[in-house]
Amino acid sequence: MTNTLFTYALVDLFPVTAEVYARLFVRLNEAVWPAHGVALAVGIAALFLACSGRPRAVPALLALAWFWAGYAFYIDLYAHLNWAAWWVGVVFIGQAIVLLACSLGQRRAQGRTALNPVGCGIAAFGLFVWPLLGPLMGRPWAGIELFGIAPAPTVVVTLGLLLTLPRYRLLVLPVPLLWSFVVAVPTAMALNDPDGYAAGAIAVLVVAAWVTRAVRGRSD
Amino acid sequence: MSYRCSRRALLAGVAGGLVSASVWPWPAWASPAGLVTKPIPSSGEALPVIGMGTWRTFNVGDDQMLRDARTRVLRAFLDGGGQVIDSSPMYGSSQAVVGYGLEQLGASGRVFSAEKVWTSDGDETREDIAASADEWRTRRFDLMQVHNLLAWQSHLPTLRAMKDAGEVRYIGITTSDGRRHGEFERIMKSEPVDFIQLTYNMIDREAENRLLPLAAERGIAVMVNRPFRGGSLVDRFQGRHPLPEWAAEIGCRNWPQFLLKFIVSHPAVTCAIPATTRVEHMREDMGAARGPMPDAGMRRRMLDYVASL
Repeated sequence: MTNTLFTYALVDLFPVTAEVYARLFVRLNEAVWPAHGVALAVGIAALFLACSGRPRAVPALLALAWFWAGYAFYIDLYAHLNWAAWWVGVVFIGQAIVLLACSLGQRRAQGRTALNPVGCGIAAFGLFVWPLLGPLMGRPWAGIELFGIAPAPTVVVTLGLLLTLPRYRLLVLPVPLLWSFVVAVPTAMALNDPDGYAAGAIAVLVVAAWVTRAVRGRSD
Repeated sequence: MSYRCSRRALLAGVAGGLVSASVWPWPAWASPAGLVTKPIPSSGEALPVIGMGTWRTFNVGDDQMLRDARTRVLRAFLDGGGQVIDSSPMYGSSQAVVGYGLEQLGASGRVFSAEKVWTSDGDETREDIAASADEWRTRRFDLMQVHNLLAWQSHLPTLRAMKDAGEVRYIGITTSDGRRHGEFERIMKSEPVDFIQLTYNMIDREAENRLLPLAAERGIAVMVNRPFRGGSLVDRFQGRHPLPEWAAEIGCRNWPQFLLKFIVSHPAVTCAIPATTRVEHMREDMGAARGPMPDAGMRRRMLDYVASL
């Protein structure tokens, strides 16, 4: 099957309509309610820790979010409609394991880290503004996408918070960046859903911030 | 541009009904309800020229609200006289949703079920088909096709054996979006298939060069997928450009019917399988299976009009 995989057009990898894709989030929210409060609390805690210069526990909190979004959305829900979703779910759970391992390493870091306004700003955007994008574009409130439950805000918050980490960014940034470029943007193209472009734009911003910081670090 | 119908197809067609030669210079038959049908060349069995695809549109999983909505689309299809329903294991939950809808409507025996084998393991042909039958809640498919030529060398001999044993009525191969037309042509020349499925529409007309004439010559039925290019052709024309006044001469009241009638009026084409999620669109599509069909001159005129837009 692999030899024919590359003969498929992009849209062939999205065997659902925009209507069905939007309904997935309604059903996801119905299925996990009332876990939304817990997810929001985890997100706010991670943001607070990261922005107050104590990001050591942040990867562990993100690991929870990645595991849950990977399992609940991709494997338990979307994989019934799209065979590729199962693999994305596996990658999400793999990223959760890497984040967890990374959190153990962060614990050895001492002292406070400097505030990273770009990272904190992106994370706050993912946590508080991203959920409003769907309803603002006419999708139902019942399908609101929240950090720790839906993949997109989970990835956006993660991209922001990982910029605040003092170490291991090279280990944990590739998957959320790849998801933004390989999953979110193509989904936006296939389903005419602008959210995915926003995720791609944020990923570009994160790469730019990451590279800038690395270059400055060398020149200092 | 003219196409010659094979003698086999003509004879099969004559056995199937009356030729409406005044508006259609090749075999086409109107059912008592006025539905235009065409014969399967290998048997003469008549099929309505408009069928139903399920790619993306019926992949709604176990979402009960959407399952019921798709059942209403299925009902509109059947009420419009539709018979051919095409699906594939590749289409996620589409098979199961079709099976659910047919069971709800008590219509399992009223359709011409077209399915596909989609596995790279040539030893799993029967298992793949059995799994699809479970999803459809049926025991036997009318047509079994090798999806996008995947492992066709292994699957076709098994499908032939199944056809000989009466486990499937027709066999075929599929492609879409112009993939592997060279290999497709070689198989059409060397393997005894009843059906081919390919992409053909007013913009994507590569099939006219070799595959459609070859199908007519070898007496192979042609099922056309992506008649609207995934909906983009309707979006491109509907509401943006008026239908020409002369479209009424061929019974077209909207762009989907205009696009579909062009396809199914090709002499080699047996049916087209548009897909939709909406009842009103299904009714529009099924309208293309009624009324007069364009002849060769009118088809040229249709192409010229679309090219001018």
